Formats: sequence, structure tokens, C-alpha cells
Amino acid sequence: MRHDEVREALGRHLEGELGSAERRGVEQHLSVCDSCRAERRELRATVELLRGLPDPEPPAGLVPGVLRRLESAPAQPRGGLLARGLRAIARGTPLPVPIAALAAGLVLLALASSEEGRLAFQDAGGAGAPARSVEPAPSAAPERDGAFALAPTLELRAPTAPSVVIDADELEPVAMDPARGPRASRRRFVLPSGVGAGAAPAGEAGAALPPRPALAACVGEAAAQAGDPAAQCRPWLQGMLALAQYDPRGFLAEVEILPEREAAAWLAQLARFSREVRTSDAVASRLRSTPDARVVALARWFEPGPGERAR
Amino acid sequence: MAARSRGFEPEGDPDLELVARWQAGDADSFALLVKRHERRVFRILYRMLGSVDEAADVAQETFLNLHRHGHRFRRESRFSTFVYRVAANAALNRRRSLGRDRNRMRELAERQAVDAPGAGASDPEAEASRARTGRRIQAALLALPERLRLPLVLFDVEGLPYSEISSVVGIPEGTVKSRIHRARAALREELRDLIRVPEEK
Repeated sequence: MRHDEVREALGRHLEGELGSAERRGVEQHLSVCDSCRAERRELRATVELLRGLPDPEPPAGLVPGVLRRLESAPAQPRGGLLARGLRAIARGTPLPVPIAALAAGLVLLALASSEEGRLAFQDAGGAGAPARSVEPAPSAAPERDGAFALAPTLELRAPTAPSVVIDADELEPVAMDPARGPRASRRRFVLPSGVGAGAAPAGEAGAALPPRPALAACVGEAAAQAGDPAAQCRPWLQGMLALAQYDPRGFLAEVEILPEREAAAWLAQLARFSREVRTSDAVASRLRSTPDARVVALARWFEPGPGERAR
Repeated sequence: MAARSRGFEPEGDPDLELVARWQAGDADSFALLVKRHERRVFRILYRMLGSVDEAADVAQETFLNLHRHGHRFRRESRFSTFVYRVAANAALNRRRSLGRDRNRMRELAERQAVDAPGAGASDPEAEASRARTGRRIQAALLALPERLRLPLVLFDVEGLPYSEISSVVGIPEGTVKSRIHRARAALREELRDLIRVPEEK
């Protein structure tokens, strides 16, 4: 073995990581080369110094400090828009929202036909698997009459949601490029058996949430011009609404992993879509009745606004 | 060994049950997880930052971040790996916000390093010399660039396997090994006077 090869291999030799042939080569060289022996000695001594370092004890107050700060978490600046909004809600701070501002930044997707209170989503089997229809849960609030009117500036009433203005320029590049689009979410959710009239056959109760489309594909002018954005966006939106109704915590988890700057836009989109397919009351009431403040907070997005009630 | 080469097997993660309970909303489980990991997190941070106060501060930050982002933990690695990653990021962020003045850091370390007293510290002289050595080593660690310091601390001080370090730092295993090697070589130069060892047979 050459001298420099041995030098390079010394570290691994110390860790006992060399194969037998290489180890023999190194050891043979070491037996004749003083400088490599010295090198090995010094390296070993260095490692021993490190391994011999005493372990500092963490201060006694570390864990209690963490737990205390968690309890007063509302004061703690928390990550995303959504999270901040949720925290504000948990504190009971009203946060009036000019969602019209959101609508100004986004030309919201006009979704084609609505499905009269039904929520259909692709089965996990993907192509070939039949779409299944899911009725809103029996506990759903009575349906409002009249479909939600499409308006250019949509007033989504989300009185305690964070105020947010997003325009397409602000979207993360990853969201703008479908090829590098957001990672597909593979969360599975399970519908309770016997839900709705067309209850799922036994043994087929689970379905994977379809991959989240790029936000740019669902909202904004580019999307509106790109033919039928609904086809790309619909499966995920439908899946999310089903999740909201049948696994509210799962829904929260999915909302929480949305890219921070997109969360509000997606929620607006979901709320809008749920009105389209007339599940927003059902979603809102299901979220409200979940014993988790953060889930309950999400319900506000789906509650009908004053204009809608009047109809 | 076989498990390592075949990749991570989540069943072997001792934290999994607590994590599941925490993710289902049980706050006590999180407290237990913090207790379970505080020592090591603190040690890593202390070696990375060189000050007890700062390490404690960043350790708190680490656990708060963990609480905030715990839902992102998808069992693709051990939970502990996830924790160390959050800790390493917190440490790197802290350093960045303090600037990159290595000399200042070293000074800080020389002044602040308070290594825990070893067991059976009866001889004050030996104890003082031990503490001096500890400070020297810590200062030498701080003189390393972070990209070398972190793998070295995780490997030689904490004894984590290469595969885990690769996952904590986010670099391939081969890179981990070469960085450790370079870090040791740099440290040896820095600590030459401490490692005069007798010729071995």
C-alpha cells in the first residue's frame, strides 16, 4: 500500500472499518513506517481526548422551563400564518378578516358542476377504481337551500382567521412548478362504515388522500386559462373535505403541513369548494363538534357568512 | 448491523409509542420525550456552542420547535434522529445570528466553559488540570468550522453511527466520514501539546 493511501485509511482503521485485505495492507505499512505510526497514535489520542470529555449536566430547570413555555405558548411566536391565527383563536382574540383582499389577489377557481351534496373521491386504487360517493354524515346540519353564488370578489366569512393577502408572485416557486410540485400526501383516512346511503362496501373503508396539486394549478389566472384546472384540483379538495368530516384531526394534520404562505389560500379554496358541493355546513358542524380547539378553529372557514344565510 | 445496512426500521424506535400518544394529543407524553432526550440534546448543544447558558437556551428552543413541528415527524427515521436534527439546526441558527467571529467564540469558550466535575474529584490540582484540558478541547472544537464540528461532535463525543449522523446533518455517509477525518486532523494540530503520547510498541 502506498503511503498516502495508508494515511487516508488510518481513520477507518481506528474505527475497525477496514476490510481484511486493506487492514493487512495498512498494518504491514505501519510496521515499517514511523511517521504513519506517529500519525495513527496522534489521531487515536485526539479521539481519546474527545471521548474522555466529561458530560456536562443540563441545568435542572431545563425541562420545567420548556413545559412552562409551552403552557404560555400563545405568547410564543409560532410558525405559520395559520398557526398564528389558530393561536389567536385559542386566546379568543377576534381577528376580522378581509378575505376580499385575498380574493383580489387571487382569481379564484371557478369550479364547474356541483354535485348536490355529494362528495365523490377517487379510490386509492387510482385508475380503474370506481369513484365512490359519500353522503355527508347523518349528523350534518340541515342543508341550506340555494347554491353558493359565484362572485368575482367572494366574501368568505372567516371572522377569526388570520388576515392575509396573497398574490401569485408570492407563491413558493415549488408550488408554481408542477413538475417539482409539493410532495404527494399519502395519508390514509378511514370512513366509518354505514356512512351515508351509498355506504362503502366492507373492507374498502380506507382511501388515500390524493396528492395535493400545485396551488397555482387551482387558483389564479394562469390556472383559469389552463383549460380545466378543476380536474387537477378536485380530487384533493374532495379528499380533504371527506377528511374534514370523517377524520377532523387528520384534516388538521393535513392543513398544518400546507406550505405556510399557501395555507390561507388553500383554506379559502376548500371553503369555497365545500360551498360548491354543499358540504360546508356538514364540515363546519363536524369540525365544531371535535374536542380539539385547533380543529374547532378551522370550522370558522366553513361557516356560512351572513350573505349566505340571508338567501 | 444488518438493520443498519437495510435502512431504518421504525419498529425498533423506543420512542415510537410516546410519539404516537403525543401526536394523538397527550401532552404528558411530550414531557416524557423531553425528559428522555434533554441530556443528549444539551450535550450536543454544549459542544456545538461552548457555553452552558447558551446550550440550555437553545435546548429549550429545540424542544419548543419540536413541539411546533412534531406533526412533521413521519417515522422515516428514529425519533431521536429527528430531535438531533432539530437541535443541530437550532445550534446552527444561533451561531449564524451571533456572527462568525471564531476568535470571539474561542474567547467565550475559554472564559465560559465549565465542564462538569468528573467523578471522584478529590485532588484539586488534578481537577484543575482536567478542567483546563476540557476547556482547551472545547475551544479547539469551536475553532473548527461548523460543517466539521457537527459530525465530529456527533461521532466522537456522542458516539452516533455514521448512518444516523448522515440523516441528522443531511449529507451522505461518505461525506460524514471524510468530514470526521478532516475534523480530527484539524483538532490534532490544534491540540498537539496535549497529545504527546509515548511511542507504542
